[in-house]
Amino acid sequence: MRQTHVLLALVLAWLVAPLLIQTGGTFNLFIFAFINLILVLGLSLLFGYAGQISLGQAGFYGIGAYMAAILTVRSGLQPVLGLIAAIVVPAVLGYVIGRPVLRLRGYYLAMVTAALGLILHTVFVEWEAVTGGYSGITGIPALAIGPLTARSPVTMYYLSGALGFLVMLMALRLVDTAYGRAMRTMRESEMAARSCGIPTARLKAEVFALSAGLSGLAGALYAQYVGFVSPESFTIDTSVNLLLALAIGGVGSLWGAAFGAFLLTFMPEWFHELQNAYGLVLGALVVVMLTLEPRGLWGILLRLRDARGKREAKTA
Amino acid sequence: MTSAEILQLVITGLTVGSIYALVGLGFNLIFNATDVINFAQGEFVVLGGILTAVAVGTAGLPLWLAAIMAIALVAALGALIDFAAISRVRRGSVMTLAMITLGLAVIVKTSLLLWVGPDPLYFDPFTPGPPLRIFGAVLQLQAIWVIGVGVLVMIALKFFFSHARIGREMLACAIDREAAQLMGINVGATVRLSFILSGALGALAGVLITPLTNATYDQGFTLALKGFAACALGGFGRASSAILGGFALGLIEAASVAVLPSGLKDSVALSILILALMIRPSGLLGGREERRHTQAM
Repeated sequence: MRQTHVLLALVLAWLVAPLLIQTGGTFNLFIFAFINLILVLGLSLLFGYAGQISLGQAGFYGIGAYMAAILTVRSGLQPVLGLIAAIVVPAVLGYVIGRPVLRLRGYYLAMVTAALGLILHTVFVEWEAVTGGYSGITGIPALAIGPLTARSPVTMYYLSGALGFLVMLMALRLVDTAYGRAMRTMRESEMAARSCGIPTARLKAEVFALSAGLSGLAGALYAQYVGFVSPESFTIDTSVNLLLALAIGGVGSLWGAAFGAFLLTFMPEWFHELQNAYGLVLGALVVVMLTLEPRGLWGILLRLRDARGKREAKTA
Repeated sequence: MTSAEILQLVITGLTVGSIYALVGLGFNLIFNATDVINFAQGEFVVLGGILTAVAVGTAGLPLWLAAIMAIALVAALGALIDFAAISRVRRGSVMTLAMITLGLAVIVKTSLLLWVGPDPLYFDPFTPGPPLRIFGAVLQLQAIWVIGVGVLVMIALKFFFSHARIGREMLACAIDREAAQLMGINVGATVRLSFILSGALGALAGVLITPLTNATYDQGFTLALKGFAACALGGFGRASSAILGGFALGLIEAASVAVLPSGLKDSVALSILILALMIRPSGLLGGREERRHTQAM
C-alpha cells in the first residue's frame, strides 16, 4: 500500500536526519513539531473524523503537562509514571466531561469546549498551592525509560519522534477499522449512525477521551523536555492555533493534520523577522486556504493528483 | 449583606449583562441570516472601541463624530469580510465559514497589536458628572447609556426581524437559502447586509462599553464568548433572549464576585453556561433549532 511506503520513507528520513542536523535549535523545532503532531492528530480524529469540534484542547494539554510536573517535582515519582498519569488523567476526565457535553453540537460544542479550556486555564492560574500560579513549576526532570534518559535534544528527538510516528500509525490504523468507519458515519449523520446501531453518545465520549489522552501525552513530553510549565502555554490561543493548523493542513485527513502540525511549528521560525506581525500571515493563510479549498493543503494535493490522472487518461 | 450592597450587585450585574447582550445581538444578526457564528464578532467590538479612542485621543475629533466614523469603518470591514472571503466559499460547510472568521479574528487582533500596542485605550464617558447614588448604591452614568441603548437596539431588532421586509428576508435566507432564492430574495445582498449591520452593531457596543471597561487588543475572544453565552442562555436567534441571557449572566457574575475571589469570575459565568446548556440545549427560553451545524466538513 502506498501509504505504508510513504510512512516508511518518512521513518527512514527521521532516523538519518540527525546526521544532517547540525544545530540544537533544529532539534528543538523537530521535537516541538512531534509534540504538535500528537496534539493535532488528536484533534483530527475528534473533529475531522468524528465531527466533534473542540476549542479546549489546550486545557487537556495543560493537564498533561501539570500532571507530569506535579507528580515528579512535588511527589517525587519516576518521570515515566508522570507520563502515564499525563495520558490517563486527561483521558478519564475527557470521558467524564465528554459524556454530557458532547450532546451539544456545532457552535454550542465549540463554545462550551472553549469555556472548558478557559476554566482549566483559570485552575492553572488560581490553584497556586499545587500549580504555582503564574510562576508555574520549574525543575521538571527529563523523561527516563529504564537506563535511557532523554536529557539531550538528540535523545528527545528520537523519543518524541518515535511516539509521534506511533500515534500516526495508530491513528491511520484506527480510521480504517469498523470503529473508524463508525466515527465517519457519525460525522456525516448522527441519525444514520444511530439507526445503524452505533452508540453515538458513547462513541463521541470515547473519541473525546482519546484526543484528551493524546493531548495529555503531548503535554507531558513538553513539560519533561522544557523542564518548566506555566499557564501561559495553555491558553485559548493555543487551542485556536491547533484548530487553525488542522484547517490549513486539511480537516478530513490525518496526513493533512501532520502537514498542519509541522507548519504550526516551523512557520513562526520562517517568519521570525515579522515578530508580532506573524499573526497576519497565519490568519491570512487560513482565510485564503479555506476560501479556495475547504479541505486544506491535503485537498490541494488531491486536486493535483486528480488533474494529473485526467491528463494521463487523455494521453493514453 | 445589606440592601444597599444587594442593590449595588444588581446594578453592576445589569450593566455588565447589557454589555454581553450587546455583543450577543451582533452574533444573532449574522446567525439569523447565514447560520454562521462569526468568531470575529468580539474583534468588531474591540475595533470599534479602539478606533473611537484613537480618533478622540490622537486626532482630537469630537466623540460623536469619532463614534460614527468607527461604526462606519467596522461596518465597512464587515462588508469587506463577506465580499473578500465568505461569499467566495463555494464548497464546505458552515464550519468552514466559522473557521474563516476565526482566521479573520487573528488578523484583526494582530493588526490592533501592531497599530496601538498592548496597552488599554480609553476615552471619557458620554456624559460627564459624578455617578448617581440610589439608596447607597452607585450607578455610573455610562452604565445608563449602555443599558438604555442596549434595550433600544433590542427593540429595534425585534421589529426589524418581525415586521421589516428586509429583516424577514434575512430570516428566510438562514432557514432555507435555496427556497429564499426561489422566492426572489437576493441572498447575496441580504447576507452582505447582515455582515454590515453586525459590524456596525459590534462597533456600537465597543463605543458604549469602552469608557467602562477600556479597550485592549486581545479582549475580543473573551467578549465573544460571553456574548455567545448570553445568546445561548436565552436561546439563539431571538433578540429579546440575548438581552435576558445577558442580564442573567451579568447578575450571576456580579453575585460570584461578591462571594468568591474575583479571578474566578469568568469561570463561574462559563460554568453556568455549560450547566444551562446541559439542561436546556436550546436555551432557557427555547430558540431556533440548530440544523446544519453538525457536519465538520
